[in-house]
Amino acid sequence: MSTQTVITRSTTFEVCWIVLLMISVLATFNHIMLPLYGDPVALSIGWTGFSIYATVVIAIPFRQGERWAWYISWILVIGFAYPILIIQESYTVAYLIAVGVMAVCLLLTAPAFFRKEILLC
Amino acid sequence: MANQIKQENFFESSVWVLFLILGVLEILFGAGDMIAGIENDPAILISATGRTPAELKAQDPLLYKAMDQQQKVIGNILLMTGFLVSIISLTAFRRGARWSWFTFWLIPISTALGVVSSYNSRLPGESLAPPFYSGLLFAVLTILWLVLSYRKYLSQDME
Repeated sequence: MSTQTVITRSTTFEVCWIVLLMISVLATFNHIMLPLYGDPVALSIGWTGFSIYATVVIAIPFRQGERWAWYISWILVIGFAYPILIIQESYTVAYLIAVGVMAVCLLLTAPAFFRKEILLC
Repeated sequence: MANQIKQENFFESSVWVLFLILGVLEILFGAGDMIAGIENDPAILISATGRTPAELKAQDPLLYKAMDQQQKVIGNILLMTGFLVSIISLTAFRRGARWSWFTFWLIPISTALGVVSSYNSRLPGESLAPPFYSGLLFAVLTILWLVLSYRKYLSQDME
């Protein structure tokens, strides 16, 4: 039996996981449509690829309780935070909200990942 | 038990290394773009506009600033994707998780789209930008390695 099945899935974990998944899925669709807003295709390809990777990580290993998936999910937060620093456009408010919600969700799910070791002892 | 002693061929045992290398390259190129912006690879700008970064800055500072910002955001995406690819390679992909094999098909798909985009954005008479050639090379390599390592990820024993 793998250790990942021992993870305790509280209601908080379930809710936060769904929120993280929804944000990454919405980001994927939004980034696919970037050329419609006049953004370059190269930017759309990059953002969409990044969002799909993040979605898959949250959907599968994060759900399974893989600790590396929790750590790497912070990349999504950092990736969304960076444009806020260099672009002064109104749409970056959406990124700011997403960054805040994702950070809170990741912090709230942390006990589910780090309690695992104690349960195994 | 049978899966534990099954021999892996060259492609099956090395595929995660190829994707790790790709991930690290993305991190390096991404960091370069984030720091230097459009100056990091002037050949891309020359291919698309026929002007060097210095010429564009002197002739159209607003366009220069917009393109510089765009290149920095692309660098950020490359860096973050590089981290994701590297970590997935070192963990799930190395262990043989089927979902990671399917997910990594995104790499040849996105590089192929990048190659097409690079080709289409070239001005007539200008040479192709370096990402056209590197994208083509990586698309071919990743398709080859993914196809020839399918047995490791799609066999009944996995997952």
